[in-house]
Amino acid sequence: MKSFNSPPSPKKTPEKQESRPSPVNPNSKIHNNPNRNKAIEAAQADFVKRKEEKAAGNTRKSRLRPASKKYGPKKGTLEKQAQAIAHDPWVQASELPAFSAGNDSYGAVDYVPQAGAGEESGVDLVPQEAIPAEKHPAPSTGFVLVPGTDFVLKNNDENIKPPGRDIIVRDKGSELAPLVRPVHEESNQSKIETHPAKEDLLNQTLEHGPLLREKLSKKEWWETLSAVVAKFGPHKKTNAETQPQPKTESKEKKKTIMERILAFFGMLRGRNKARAEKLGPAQKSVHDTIMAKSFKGKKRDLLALGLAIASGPAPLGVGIDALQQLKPINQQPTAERKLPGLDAIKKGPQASMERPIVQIPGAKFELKEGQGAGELIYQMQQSLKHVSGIENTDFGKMLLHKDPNLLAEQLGFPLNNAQGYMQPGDSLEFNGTSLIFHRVDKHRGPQDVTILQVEKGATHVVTHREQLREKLGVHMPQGAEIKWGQGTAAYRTAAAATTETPAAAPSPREVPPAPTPAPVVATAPATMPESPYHVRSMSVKYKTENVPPAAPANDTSEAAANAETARANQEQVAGHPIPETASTRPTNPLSIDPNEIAARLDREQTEGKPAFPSQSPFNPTETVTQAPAASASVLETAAAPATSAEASATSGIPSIDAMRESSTWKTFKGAPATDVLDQPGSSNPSDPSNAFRMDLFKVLCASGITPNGGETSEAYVQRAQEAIANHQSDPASVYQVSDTEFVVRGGDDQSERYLANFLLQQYAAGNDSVKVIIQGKSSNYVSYYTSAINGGTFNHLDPYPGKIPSVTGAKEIF
Amino acid sequence: MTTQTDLIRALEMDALPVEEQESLLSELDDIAFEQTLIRILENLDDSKAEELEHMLERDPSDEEVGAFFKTHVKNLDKLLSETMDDLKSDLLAKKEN
Repeated sequence: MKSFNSPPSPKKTPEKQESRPSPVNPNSKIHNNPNRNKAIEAAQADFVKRKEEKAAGNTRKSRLRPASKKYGPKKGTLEKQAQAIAHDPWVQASELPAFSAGNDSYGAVDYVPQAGAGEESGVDLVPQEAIPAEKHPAPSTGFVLVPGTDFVLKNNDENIKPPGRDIIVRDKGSELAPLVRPVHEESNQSKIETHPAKEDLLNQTLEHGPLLREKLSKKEWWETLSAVVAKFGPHKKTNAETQPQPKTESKEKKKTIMERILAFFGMLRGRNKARAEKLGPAQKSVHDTIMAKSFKGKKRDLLALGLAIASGPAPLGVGIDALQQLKPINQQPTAERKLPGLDAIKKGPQASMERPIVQIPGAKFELKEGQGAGELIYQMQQSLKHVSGIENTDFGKMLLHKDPNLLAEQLGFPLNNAQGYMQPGDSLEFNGTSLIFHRVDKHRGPQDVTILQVEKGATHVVTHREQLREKLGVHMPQGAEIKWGQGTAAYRTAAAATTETPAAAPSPREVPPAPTPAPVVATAPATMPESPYHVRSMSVKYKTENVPPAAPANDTSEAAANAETARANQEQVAGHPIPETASTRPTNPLSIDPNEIAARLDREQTEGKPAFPSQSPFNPTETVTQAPAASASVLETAAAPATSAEASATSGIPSIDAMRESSTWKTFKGAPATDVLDQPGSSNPSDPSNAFRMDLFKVLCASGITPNGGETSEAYVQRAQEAIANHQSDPASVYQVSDTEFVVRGGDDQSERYLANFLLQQYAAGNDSVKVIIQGKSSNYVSYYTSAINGGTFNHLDPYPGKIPSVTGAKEIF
Repeated sequence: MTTQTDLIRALEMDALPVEEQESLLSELDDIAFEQTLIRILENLDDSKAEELEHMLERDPSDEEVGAFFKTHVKNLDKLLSETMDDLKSDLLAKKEN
């Protein structure tokens, strides 16, 4: 039932609302209108009637359920009212004590809320903003009366209303219902939360509410009530509301930003173009090639990878990752430090190639006094475990999950640190691509050795044990050859077995044939370009002749074996290595008479014929003009065609066939080749292990490839044979420039070092000035090893800043 | 804070959609790459440049390219560092403007 005398809704007839006089004006016509007063009286009567009906249970459903219905069975108490405030943003103000009928202590509002009549007893909720400002000028009371619409307790008077809330008193006919609502409309969407911890305050307030209301002034009461509303009000901002809203940039602004960035890029590209134009033709061609291909995705990534490799552990690279330099690397969180170029690398065809993704400058672990290598490794493992991403790298897999003691041994730091491999002050540094050993030597300065590095992607990790050993300058007395674990032990066991086995019949290698004139071969054409890769074809070959035959091999080998057995027994008893005596140290099997060299060179000059034959059947530039004959030396017989004639039936490669034909082959072929090559060697040339090692070095020279870790000598020789047969080898050449200077060229880096070691061991006995110069594959890489013979050790000076040595006129001894 | 975030801020790309940010960063990647390449080529003599050209023609392995740069480009690290410094300066200058 609609209430009578109800003015039209402002929504429906807004034009009529403006003409309505203000209800607060006591002199207005409407207040003096008897019909209106009558209507009010009727409404009041109706209200009483409805109240009675309600009490009798005959209620009619209102459109908006009163808060008292929602939150309590009975309205009118302060507690229920406060609860209503606390839970409902749209509580009818009539339910609030401040708007109790006839309470003039609340000042300026001179109307009495009349209960709603009929079905429209609820109220329409009209946003305050919808009310034109001119319609509710704020009087001093803070109330705004909009004739025919709402009474608004304006938000600008904080003295008489809850802060942040408006009170709207809507005049909807007789249903004048003041409302307290939060200013923010979003309160309808908020979740209602009750704070149990604050309920005490609420209870106190509610409990003492009536008392307080009597004692407090209007302002104080409002403040108290406001505090309750504010604290327990229903509106809780959601997370979305509390979070700062993302900037909603206009399209115009975005366009401007984009234009500025593109202009900046254009400037950079323009500068690149200008610089590219200034490149020389060759460089420009490379630039264009790479840039053209770069956009196809392959070459650029390839180059990026190349740069990353080339720059190594340096915190540099290409692409966005390189821009990490915008912030100094040491200011970046460790987890964010990345090897530059990784993204570019992983995008490209090399994606499957795992690269280190961490870079940890300064990840250096120093050996303290009393600390062992295993302990240091453990310390390193524990530190690196915290580096984000390292788990997925080769290094992570290899370094972090191994037993530290085992790893220490595998890295070349035996736990029984008898040889002093690591000393206090030594350190290991992991830089993301390599594990580097550091030592500051008092005499030689900083000695840095890369002992582990990723090579050829994820599957190949290279150790540089021998380099480490050289760098460390360890004094290795005779008998201290057990250094690299099981392999060497097996080798020694094999050597011991040899001594117990009766010597086999002398092989052709061990029984030199009668001396014959040395063959003469043509040297390489003079037009052959000088290149490290062709240098052996430019050299003068040398072969000794007329050297007295060596003692029968069975005698020497047996004697050597006996001596070795005796020494091993002594070591076992003594518990420490026993060096060989000088008296037992035989002459160098590779010693060559310098006078003979000079004589041959003179003859070559006078006769115009090459003085020395080639020993290498693998060099296509060399032509053997005469079948070589065996010489009298042990070395020569090892490679003599007379011995290889039989062997050629198997492989055709003299050095390999000779090795397989030797008496030591069966004994030592199962020994790891690396261990054989790593041996400091007995100085006894007739020591069977020495002879075997000599043969293996010759294979190494011929093939230029080095054995893999743990690869048996037999497997290695087979692989070398296949490499030679398939022209995949890179033969190394060893030249003797003078009595004390040797040059090694060709072969891979490993083989060069093996050869250097070998030469120093063999030639430097009693001579501490022997120098072995190594010329690497790259023409500007030269280093040399010099002997400091003291029980068979040597020192390594690297890098050598000297010139590439000339080998013209030198003899090639391998 | 990642470097990428720094870059986005330096370029004032915050307001742009993520896709556009990535696109722009990719373009910056190309620019940085070319800068690096040019600087390397400037330090490569003719013969080595021709050698590199031939190497690229035969689809070299990554190790080969890496070894080539390492061998024939002097102060490679320094060159790369300078390139990145230049780019950094440009970015900072842009930000100041």
